[in-house]
Amino acid sequence: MKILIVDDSALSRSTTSKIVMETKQTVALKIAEAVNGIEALEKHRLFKPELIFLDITMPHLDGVTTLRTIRLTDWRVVIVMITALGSHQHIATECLKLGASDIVAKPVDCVILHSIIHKVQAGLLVGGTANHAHS
Amino acid sequence: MHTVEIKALTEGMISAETVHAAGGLVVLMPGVVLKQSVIDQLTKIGIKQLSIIDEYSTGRSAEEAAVFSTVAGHFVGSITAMLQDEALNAVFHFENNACKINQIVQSVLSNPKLQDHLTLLEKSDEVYIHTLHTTLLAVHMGLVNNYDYLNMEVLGTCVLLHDIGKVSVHPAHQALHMEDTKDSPTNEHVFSSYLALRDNLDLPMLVALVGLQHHEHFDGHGSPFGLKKNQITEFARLLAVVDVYDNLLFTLKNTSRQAMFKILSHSDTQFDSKMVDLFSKAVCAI
Repeated sequence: MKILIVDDSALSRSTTSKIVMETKQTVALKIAEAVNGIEALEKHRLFKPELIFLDITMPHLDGVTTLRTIRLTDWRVVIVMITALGSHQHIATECLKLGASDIVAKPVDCVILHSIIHKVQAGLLVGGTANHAHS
Repeated sequence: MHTVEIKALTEGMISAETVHAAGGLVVLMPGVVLKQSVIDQLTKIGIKQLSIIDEYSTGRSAEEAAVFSTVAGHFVGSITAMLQDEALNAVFHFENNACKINQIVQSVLSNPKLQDHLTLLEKSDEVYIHTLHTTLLAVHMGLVNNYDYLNMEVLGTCVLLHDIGKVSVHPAHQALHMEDTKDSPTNEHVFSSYLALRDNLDLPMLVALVGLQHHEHFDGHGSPFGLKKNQITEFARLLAVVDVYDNLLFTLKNTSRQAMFKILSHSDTQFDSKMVDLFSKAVCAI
């Protein structure tokens, strides 16, 4: 499975990457990282991930705009929004309407991320469908 | 092409991908031979992996090079004539920058990865002329804004190709998921531009993004997404000003003073005020 991690914070990317790597024994993984929204679009075009962890709050091309742009051409990739704004339900609702597959709050919980990866692997979490939101 | 961890990069390797900074400015282009200073810069901005050209990549054939020269040659002739045209200089005020503008635009036109798009742009006289006007003006503003040479070339490429969707409707356009977008007559060409430029893997994604975003308004009342402020990439905000200025002058037949006042009156609403200030500084119509 190809996974793209998008976050402007190096620490957040590193943390998410380490958690994702923990599933390597059960899921064959290739991981790429993007440091901003434009890089995310480049990597989406070239790397063709099956799962994207996308930070909402990034400077310039933010997560919501990146989500909308990806969804113009790709409704199949699973996009999980990562938000530090856990109490802002309206942003989560907006993201789900725009095609996010799920929402996860920071600090990311390794059990939740592992569950997401295994669900994508099993075809239980698909792109562009509001499954459920983790708050 | 293969991917290498940043720690394994060495001088002499050749980049196979574009790297962007957060605001949309380009840090690295494909085909650049890496030096240690570039590797250090990539490490600093947090890049962990980079695609590298394999040792035995092949270039374009002699036949392809001949076709490229013919297509670009027409554009080069037009650009040179425009930069010398007194009437155009009266409204664009290239003046001392004419030589540098010519050099940068010719460098952009010499890129073999653009040739198929250039051939399409020649299909419509109106789009061809508007494209050249806006490219010259955008590069002029870029020089006044002191962008580095790399970003001048990327800006020139973005503007040169922004309306490709007007001369060629992309076959996948009808398959786009547009439920989230505003209904607008400009949508068709911005989506076609985006798809066509995104398909060209030799162009930075930023070029496609500018094609998609150049009708967005700074205050969120544009299309197709109603993006606001910094959600719109810097080059798209710059292009928005020159795009409208050229249309006011040459389609709606405004005088340069009338056109400038209209641009100024929409500062901070339709246009980014910083781009309007830059435009005023570059054009000095008033």
